[in-house]
Amino acid sequence: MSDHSSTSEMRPDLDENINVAQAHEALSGDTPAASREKRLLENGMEPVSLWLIFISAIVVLVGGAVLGQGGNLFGYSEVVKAGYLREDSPLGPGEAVIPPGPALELYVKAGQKVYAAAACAGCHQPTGAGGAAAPPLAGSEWAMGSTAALSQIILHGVTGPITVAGKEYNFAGGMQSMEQGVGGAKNLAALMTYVRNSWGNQGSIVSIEMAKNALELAKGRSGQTTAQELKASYDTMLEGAELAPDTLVDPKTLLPIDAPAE
Amino acid sequence: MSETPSTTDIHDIELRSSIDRSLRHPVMFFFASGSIWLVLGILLGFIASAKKHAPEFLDCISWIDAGKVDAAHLSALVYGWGCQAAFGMIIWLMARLTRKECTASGIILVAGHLWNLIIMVGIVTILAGQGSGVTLMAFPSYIWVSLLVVYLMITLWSLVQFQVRDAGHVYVSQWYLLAGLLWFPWILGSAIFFVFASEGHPLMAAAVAAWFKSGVFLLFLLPTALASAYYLAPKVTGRPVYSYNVALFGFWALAFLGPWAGFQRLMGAPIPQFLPYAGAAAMVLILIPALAVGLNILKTIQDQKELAAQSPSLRFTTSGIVLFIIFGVLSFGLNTVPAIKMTQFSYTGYGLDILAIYGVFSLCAFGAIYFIVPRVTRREWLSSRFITWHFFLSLYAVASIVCCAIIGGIIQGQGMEDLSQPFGTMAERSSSYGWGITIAWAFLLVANFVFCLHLLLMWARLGRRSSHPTLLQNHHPESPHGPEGEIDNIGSVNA
Repeated sequence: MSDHSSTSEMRPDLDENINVAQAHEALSGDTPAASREKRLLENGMEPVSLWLIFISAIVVLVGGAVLGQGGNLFGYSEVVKAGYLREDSPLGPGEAVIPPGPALELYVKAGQKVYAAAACAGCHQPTGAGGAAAPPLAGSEWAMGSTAALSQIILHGVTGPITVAGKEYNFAGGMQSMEQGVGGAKNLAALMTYVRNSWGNQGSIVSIEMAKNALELAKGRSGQTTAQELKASYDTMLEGAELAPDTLVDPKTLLPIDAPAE
Repeated sequence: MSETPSTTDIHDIELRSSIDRSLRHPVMFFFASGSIWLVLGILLGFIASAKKHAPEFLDCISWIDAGKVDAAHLSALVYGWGCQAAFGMIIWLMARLTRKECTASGIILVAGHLWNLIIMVGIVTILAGQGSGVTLMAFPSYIWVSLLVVYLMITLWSLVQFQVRDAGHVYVSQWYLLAGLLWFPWILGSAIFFVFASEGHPLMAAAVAAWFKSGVFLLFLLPTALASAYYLAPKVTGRPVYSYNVALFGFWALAFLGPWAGFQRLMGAPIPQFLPYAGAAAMVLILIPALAVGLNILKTIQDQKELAAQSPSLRFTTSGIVLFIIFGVLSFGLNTVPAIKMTQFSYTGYGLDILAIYGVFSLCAFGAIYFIVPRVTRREWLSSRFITWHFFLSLYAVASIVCCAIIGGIIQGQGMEDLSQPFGTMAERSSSYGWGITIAWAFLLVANFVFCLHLLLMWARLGRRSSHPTLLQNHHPESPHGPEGEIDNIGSVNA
């Protein structure tokens, strides 16, 4: 670099067109990469080969087929293509499907709706804390304990003194039967699971099969129950197969679906 | 090439070196800062990929949440690295091909600094949660107009150079350069208008953003990469481009198809139906320009396999072109209507994006960088081992990413179509492919860390002073004519 200026002024061969010193320098030291480059040649004139045309034709055919599947391409009134939604939906073509989920989550979700719809929240409060008209459900041994007793409280109502979480309650009139308000084994199962698994409560899932047995159990008996009767006759778990919390169930029917195919 | 240089050769060499000299600062600035963004973009890509299958990874740092880091990753990769590498290639190639020195390198350099500043602000805004949330347009709206202005400051001079060129043959590379130069402001301007400025339907804004995303590759990065390939393949081998007619065919096929592609991302959405279907058809037809370009470049270097293995620039460029053919084939297969339905919301689209940005564009850009940098710095690359590592790690890592993303994406798509299974089962099935992608990003990070280091050393003018190019397979480690630096084999070696 430093001797660049001196060599470019030095012309040892004045009669020549080429300044050899300069050319030599250009070739050797300062710009080696630019010096060893080859020149770009003019383009070759090979024709477009037949097989390229042939393959292109096939590609164009496939592209045309893709475009053809668009159907009514410029009909702006109908922008959602018919048949694009899933056809193998169990509810029929075009129906959206909610995928299955874990049992505990879906039971609690369904039970929360029943809890609100059957007016449980009116006395027991949305937080399950109870209040002026009802004992608490949160932390209640009746809620988390034997499922048969819990089911009979809901189906028949309860009257008289009752001890909940170490405190005695006795409300005038007690709790009325909620059988009509709950409506059916599925809702009963969801409601009981919700009560057993909310506000810090922890308990097993009450399956639909168990809820059906609870309805059987309630037949042939009328009037409110009492705490003594519940302790004496119903201090058992409802019959039926256990439902593990992560079993996949259908969100509509709450029935277990087949195990995933691996 | 004759052993004794003639007068015209000497003038040629002088002209070439004066062009190189006039551009050394902006070109090196674009390449060096681009390579730093590349390392950063890959690091963010690694984090983003890890978060897809291991959400608890780094979850204590809120500014790299999954959504933000994904947007920052693609933005750094495309605007930090892709565009800057393309700028370096464009201004150098256009100056060389029009045989004009660049007279505006100061302005270009300033604009280059501005570009970096804007990208940095943009990435920080994304990570701070203030991004626009539009895919590949995630910078907030005020960034985009300034990017467009800076783009014009950088590239205007290349257009001027083309305009005042000496009359004569316009070379294939120049078609692609000119097309890319003009297409980019068109797509960016349209996207800014429809996504940020106009009061149109938000769904159409999403569709236009998808079109822009596809256009950034097909209409800007790809033409630049192809311009470089059409320049380097004949330059290094010393043979003419195989066929002018095929080149013409490939160019016009891309020019005709490229602007249609992109809307297929919104297949099934309630937008006018010709948009997604025309997009899908255009992506299917991209195989045609891919085959034409691939045929042309590969035929040009056909008899020079040894050279293609030795020369870093030719080896990277050839790999990029082969990956372009693979891109064409995958695009052909994966954009038919049943395949789109299956893979629309899976890893597959990401795999094609990475194949395009890293596999096709970046490998061609590396080829160009390995060719250009010794010329503008007047130093040779330091280590052929670094280049070999960069090559093999890049190639295998990008192949792993693409294979994992496409196979995993198809499995994901099948899982989503299976209505009897919840979402989690599908995610579990594809998570092992997610692991594969993350590991491949880690290898890519190593590859480009090596590359970035090598390039920064070259930028600091610490390259070898020698007349011997750095070749990848040197059969004569020690020259019979003494130590390197002698003028023993001028004209018989290539880089």
